Amino acid sequence: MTALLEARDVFKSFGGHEVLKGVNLKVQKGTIHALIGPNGAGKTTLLNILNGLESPSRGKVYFNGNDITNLPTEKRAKLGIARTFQLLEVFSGLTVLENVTVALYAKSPWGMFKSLTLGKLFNSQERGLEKRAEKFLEELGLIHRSKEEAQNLPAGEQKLLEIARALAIEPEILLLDEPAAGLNNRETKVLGETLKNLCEKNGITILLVEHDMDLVMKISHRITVLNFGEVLAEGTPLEIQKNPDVIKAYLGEES
Amino acid sequence: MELFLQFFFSGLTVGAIYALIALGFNIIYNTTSILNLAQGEFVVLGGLLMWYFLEKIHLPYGVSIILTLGISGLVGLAMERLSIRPLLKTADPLLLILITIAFSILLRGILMFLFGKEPYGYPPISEGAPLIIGGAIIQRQVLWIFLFVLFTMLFLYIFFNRTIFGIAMKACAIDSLSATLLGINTSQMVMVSFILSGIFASLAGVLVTPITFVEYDKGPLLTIKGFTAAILGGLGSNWGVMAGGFLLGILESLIAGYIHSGLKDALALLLLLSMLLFKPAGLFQSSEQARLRKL
Repeated sequence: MTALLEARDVFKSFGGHEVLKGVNLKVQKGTIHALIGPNGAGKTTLLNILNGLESPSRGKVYFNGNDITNLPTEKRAKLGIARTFQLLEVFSGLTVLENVTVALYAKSPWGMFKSLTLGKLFNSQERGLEKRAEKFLEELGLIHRSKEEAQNLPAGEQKLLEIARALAIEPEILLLDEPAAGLNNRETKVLGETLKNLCEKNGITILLVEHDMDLVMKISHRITVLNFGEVLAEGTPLEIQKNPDVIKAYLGEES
Repeated sequence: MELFLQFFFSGLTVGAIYALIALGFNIIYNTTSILNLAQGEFVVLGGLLMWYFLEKIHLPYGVSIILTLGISGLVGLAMERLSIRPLLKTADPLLLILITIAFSILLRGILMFLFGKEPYGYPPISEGAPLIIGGAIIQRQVLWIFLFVLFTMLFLYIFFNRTIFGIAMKACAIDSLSATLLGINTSQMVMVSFILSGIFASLAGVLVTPITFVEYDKGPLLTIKGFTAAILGGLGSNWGVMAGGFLLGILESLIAGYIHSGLKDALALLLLLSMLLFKPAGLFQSSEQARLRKL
């Protein structure tokens, strides 16, 4: 069975410093796959290579079995690879609803002139977009915030908005870079449930980089551990928790 | 009081022109982080094209305006496609700004070649005796200028708040990386910003030429004035830079009227320098707000 998203033998170096040393990663369709590892293990770099923000020094990236190594980011977005970042990246100044509507428009733009002549007032297409955007907001429990400016939401809801926006491009896979960073316990719990729901109900595959081990162990189907640019271990949460190499990498050599 | 009103109204008139130029600066700055220092040339282009259509081939006023704005938009488009787009992703912003200066020299050369060095003018939109408000004499063209600027503001408001395309453009300005990741065509947004700013600057030329006349080399000073207005109001917000335009116009006119007309241009430069030194975010916004681009 071909993986949905695959990194094959990926190397990446920045000015002589090798960040990734031949990483292989297969994300199966319909799973939540976590990528964990100590700081500087190359997790974010790997995500960047998977969605095209950086290109690998060597190695290939495959999506649904097709080589996408040389495809630019926006083309990958259109294929169905969505991405969120470690830092909050909502469009501040736009309302919550507009944040999602813009993403929907990007999927099927109809040009400036139509937009200009018709606008929101007369254009049923544009109203249709809003309806669909509202659906995504409802799904993530943000509908009561839709008229507020995005930057005024608390961190947890901004994260959910970012995910709602990423969902609007109808992705097959979501790449999430530390979604729980900066969230409190309650917000993290909501996030975990949301991600689980997305995977089980909507069939969206999720690859997440995360430091919050409770969250990772609770929602992931598979975990890959990265250490100094190499895959240290891969398996189910239970296997990873028992793996002596992983324990050593996390707790230090002495233990 | 009458004198003050007189200066005030003529300040508003010049200010409206500066506001339109500053607007072009801001729209391009927001989508690309560069300054288009050919803005002034677009004002001249507007005035000269308008003269050509109106006085040389005698088209009706409305048709001339539409043709002039259309052609200016196309020149903006050509500028973006030929000189900005190929380099936008790789080149340093400073290099791109230098390219816009090169483009302004080129455009100025072409205009001189086509129209020569003499000043051009044409009749105002509607003829008739000037109006008198509170003792101040106001030419009818001034009212037209205000009308067009109001119309431009209305357009901006609707475009950036009520149309999805405008909102997408705002999204690109706020965070072009996230916008790209969502699949928004950022290059198209840059193109539209050049077309829009070409049209606004050209509209300024169309409106002001009946009052001040236009010749091929008026561009650079207008660029500086528009830039000063943009800095004064604070690059980042359309409303801010337009307010900056009006403010600069009024200050200039008061200084010229009450002190000495020779100080007019010096004032703009002095304001520009002191704003850049002491409050680069502009009068109406904090530096945090300046980082948050709004359109």
